[in-house]
Amino acid sequence: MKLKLLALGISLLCAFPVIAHHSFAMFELTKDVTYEGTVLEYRWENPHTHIILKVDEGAADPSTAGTWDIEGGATSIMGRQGWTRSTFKAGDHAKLIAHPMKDGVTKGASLFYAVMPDGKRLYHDIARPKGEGGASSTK
Amino acid sequence: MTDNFKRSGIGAVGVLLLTAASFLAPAPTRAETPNLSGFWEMHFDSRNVPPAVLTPVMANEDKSVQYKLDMFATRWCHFFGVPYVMDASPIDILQNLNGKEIVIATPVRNPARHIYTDGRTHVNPDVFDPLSNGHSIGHWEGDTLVVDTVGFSTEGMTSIPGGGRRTPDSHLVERYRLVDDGNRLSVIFTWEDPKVFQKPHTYEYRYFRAPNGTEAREYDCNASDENRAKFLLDVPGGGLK
Amino acid sequence: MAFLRELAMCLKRLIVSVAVWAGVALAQTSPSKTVPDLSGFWERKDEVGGGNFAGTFAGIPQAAVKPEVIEEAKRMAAAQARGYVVSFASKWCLTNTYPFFMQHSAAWDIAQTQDEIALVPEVHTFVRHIYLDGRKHPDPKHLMRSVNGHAIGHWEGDTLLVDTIGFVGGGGTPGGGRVGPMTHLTERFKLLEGGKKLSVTFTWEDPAFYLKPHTYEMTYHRSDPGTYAFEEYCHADDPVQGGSVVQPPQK
Repeated sequence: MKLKLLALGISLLCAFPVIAHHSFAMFELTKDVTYEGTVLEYRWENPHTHIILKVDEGAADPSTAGTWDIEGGATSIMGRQGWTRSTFKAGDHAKLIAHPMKDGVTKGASLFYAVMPDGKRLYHDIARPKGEGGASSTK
Repeated sequence: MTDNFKRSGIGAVGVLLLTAASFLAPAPTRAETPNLSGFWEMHFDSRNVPPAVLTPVMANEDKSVQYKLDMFATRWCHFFGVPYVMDASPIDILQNLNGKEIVIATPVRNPARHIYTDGRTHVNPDVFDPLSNGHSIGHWEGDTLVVDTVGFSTEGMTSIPGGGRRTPDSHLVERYRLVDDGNRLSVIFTWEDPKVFQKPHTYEYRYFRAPNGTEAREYDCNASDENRAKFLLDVPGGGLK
Repeated sequence: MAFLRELAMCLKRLIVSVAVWAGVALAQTSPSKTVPDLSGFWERKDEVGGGNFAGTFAGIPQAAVKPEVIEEAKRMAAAQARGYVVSFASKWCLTNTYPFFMQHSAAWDIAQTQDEIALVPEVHTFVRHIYLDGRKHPDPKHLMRSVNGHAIGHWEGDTLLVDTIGFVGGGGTPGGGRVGPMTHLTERFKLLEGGKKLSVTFTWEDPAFYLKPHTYEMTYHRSDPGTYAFEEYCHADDPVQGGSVVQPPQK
């Protein structure tokens, strides 16, 4: 346990400024899960946009069935990546890739990107998948 | 021969005179537009603000309504927005050397104003998220910078000098011009908002150029300070023991 | 011969005059023609494919900090592992201290005049003023500490050198550094790739935190034409400000 805390601390030293807005320690940031279903609410707000998504039983990944709070970033961060207050509305179909909670129980996740009907990805912030950085990491 | 020499000499003197004239001319910032950059202060005699002619609904509104809105924004350290920031002296105007943008920074904890002077139009309201400062575009008409602002949110200190408040339907036109040999900056504000004003509401500020070496200030805001909150929201003197 | 002497003298006067005129014209030319134009909107992009926001800092060297700094980071990590999600500063919308907005995912704007450069963020903090008019830092007796510090700059060729003291401090830096009241920051701003990118090299020094100066480079990409500023409002009065995900009712 001590080693895990030390590793986490060192990784935090390497990563976040000391006063970060929001700890992401509760999310499995290295795991990407696909949540696909119907938007119940699209809350375009600060500090985080929230997409409440209902994934039906019988989803390709049974562990994603249920109603989820997928948390995005601030509107100014998401706006820079191409999101607007009208990107989704209640009733839309949505395919969201997100990092699930570590506890494996709470139906919440940290948004990585949405896959739009035309196949385009809308990322929630500047981060891109492993190996997809560099000059190509544009909107 | 002597005539040729005289003509050459006159030519050389002419070039020298032109050289001297260019040496004395002030440095331009951008082709022929005045330079508004610098710190500008409000003094006791900086404001000419007549009363606004309000719609009956606004005129009959209880004064405490606007007071509470403004104090709430102050207590919770919201962004204050326009027009309040233009009263937060000194303001610092940065007129980009490339002529594409003018930024107005103030000592309060509020995003700076961005006046885009690159020829763009206002953003499609279907995608634009309203801002406390609105969306401002500007162009020069001779020696006057004309700024047009729409897209205001309801965030912040919304009261307007002379009466009325800023709303999402507000339209503001400002005219900036140097006066008094560049020692003063005149800004004429004209607000239009059919739900607030019966006719356009116009007032003028004249800022004074701040002394060389003026430093920007940061008037910080701490919403977690309970004593501060009590001072702002309680009956005056109520928090004093 | 006399004619040739006169002609030579006349030409000499003409050449000298033109040279003087050209020199004065160049000196008076808008500085935008003699120093790089840093103005405009800039944004971080994920150069490395980090997989998540923390991963975008791969390549930033770890600061050599004192043991007590490491201990405090461990305590914070332990608290977060126990469920401390939203910091006090965030819940109450306390002012973001420098260099927060320089590593944020939001864009920021540079305004550039002859005497000043301003870094203009979208988050709840203040504009950062970099004075280029030759002024020095205030006498320590008169120095008012600020979240952005007191910054003075000058050009060395195509590089803007900025020297900053007078932070109120309290924040951190990429690589695990810290900022305090006695911290000294040196920055070098330089355009890359014909102005498409901006490199900023930060060097932090403070014997209270660092065993040696902490230096790293951040690279920013010029935003698309027509980019306009957003406002990242923060409402401490809104209950959502202090929270994160909330499992919805299961429908």
